[in-house]
Amino acid sequence: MATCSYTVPDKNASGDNFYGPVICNQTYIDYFWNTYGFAGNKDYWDDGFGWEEACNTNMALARTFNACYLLTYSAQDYQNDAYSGPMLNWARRYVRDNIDDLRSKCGDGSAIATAFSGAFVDDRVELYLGFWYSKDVPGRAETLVHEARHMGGRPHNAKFPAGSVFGAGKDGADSEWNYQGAWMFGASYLWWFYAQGARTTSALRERARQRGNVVIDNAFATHPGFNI
Amino acid sequence: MTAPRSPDTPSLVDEGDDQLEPGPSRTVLNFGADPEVGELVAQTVATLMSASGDDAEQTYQRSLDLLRERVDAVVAVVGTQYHALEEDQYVERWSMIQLLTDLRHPAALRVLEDVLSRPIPPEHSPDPAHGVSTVGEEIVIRTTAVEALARLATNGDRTAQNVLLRQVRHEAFSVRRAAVQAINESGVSELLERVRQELQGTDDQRLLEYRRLDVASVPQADGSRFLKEGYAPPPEPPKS
Repeated sequence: MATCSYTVPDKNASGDNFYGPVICNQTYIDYFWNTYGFAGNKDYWDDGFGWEEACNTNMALARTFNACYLLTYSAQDYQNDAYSGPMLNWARRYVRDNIDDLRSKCGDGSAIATAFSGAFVDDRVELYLGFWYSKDVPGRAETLVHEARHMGGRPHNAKFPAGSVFGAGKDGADSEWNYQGAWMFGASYLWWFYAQGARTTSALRERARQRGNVVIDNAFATHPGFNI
Repeated sequence: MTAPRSPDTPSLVDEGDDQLEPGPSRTVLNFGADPEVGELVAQTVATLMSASGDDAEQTYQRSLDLLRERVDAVVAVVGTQYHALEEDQYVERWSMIQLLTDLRHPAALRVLEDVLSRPIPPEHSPDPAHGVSTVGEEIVIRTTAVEALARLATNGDRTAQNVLLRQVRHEAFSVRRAAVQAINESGVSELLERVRQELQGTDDQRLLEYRRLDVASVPQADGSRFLKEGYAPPPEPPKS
């Protein structure tokens, strides 16, 4: 068991003040808990992670619910989640299809989330401190999409390019945009959110654009030659 | 096949039960130097980031109009606030620059130029690929500042054009890329010609070919591949 502590960044800038009042609704809480892999994991989400205060956006659970709301409702026609349509619509379905065990942990200060899958492995996604207190709400949704892609069996396959902020020459990049890896999924989601995100603010969409471009510029061994 | 494990079986794995506690709080946004203007700025930032409803954008634009009436004092307050924030208050620092971007006023140039001229601090994350790259956060702030310059440059502001041109030599790839794209899209042919000359024969010459595209025009993610086995269709979400 580990004990960790948090400091809450400005909740206007992170988007938590925007989404917080909306998720404080038992209907949504029921849906998110049962849909996105929380169910059965009360032991992980209590003890200060927010299970006892599901509307408190200082705490991890409500900050995760904010990302779940963004993921679920940012498409204008959110009820159409066909994989043939825009990713903004089906990303919620993709996350739900691939993550059925979502746990909260302190972490060791390095990763913000990790996907575990494979033979003799308890398939799960773990979220760590940085997920809630360093990422804004769109960034948390991006992380869920990214980890869902790993759970779907798509690992990284390349080294980061020269000058990459993610660690030039180190493993963890996707070879190219068309590899359809976790970085492409995350960047695509942010791109759609920037372009067509509904039930959000122009500032969060702009922030998603800037973050998406950092991914496009730094996470592919070969730059795709386009930006958001 | 193994038998189900009793819940009180000794476990070799440390399972769950981490504890999370509130840490020290810190000053978030404090506009004490000029309380009246500071209050205006604080209200506008709150509107920018959190306002909802059909009239949210109109409310935000009205707030920006009020700020423009006292733009020199506003820029001074925002600049002071930006530099008063701790280095790791990335979202707060970004919100100040986004506000200046939306202000679309030449008075913001000196703050924007100052932000872009400061070196990016070294990476603090032990694992920037899986964690939060602090250099990445710094770049988000700076590419937002480039966006602010781009808006002014497109409107013909010569100072903004010159500051933008200098970013073509910025230390960070993304800032250079954003600057080149902004100049490419500005329609200012003289500026674009200077960039072409500057990049001729360098590795960054490729940036002249990089384009900002519509999301629908690039190769799309295919969600129907690489799905975890055995999934069931998700339930319909409740009405929003």
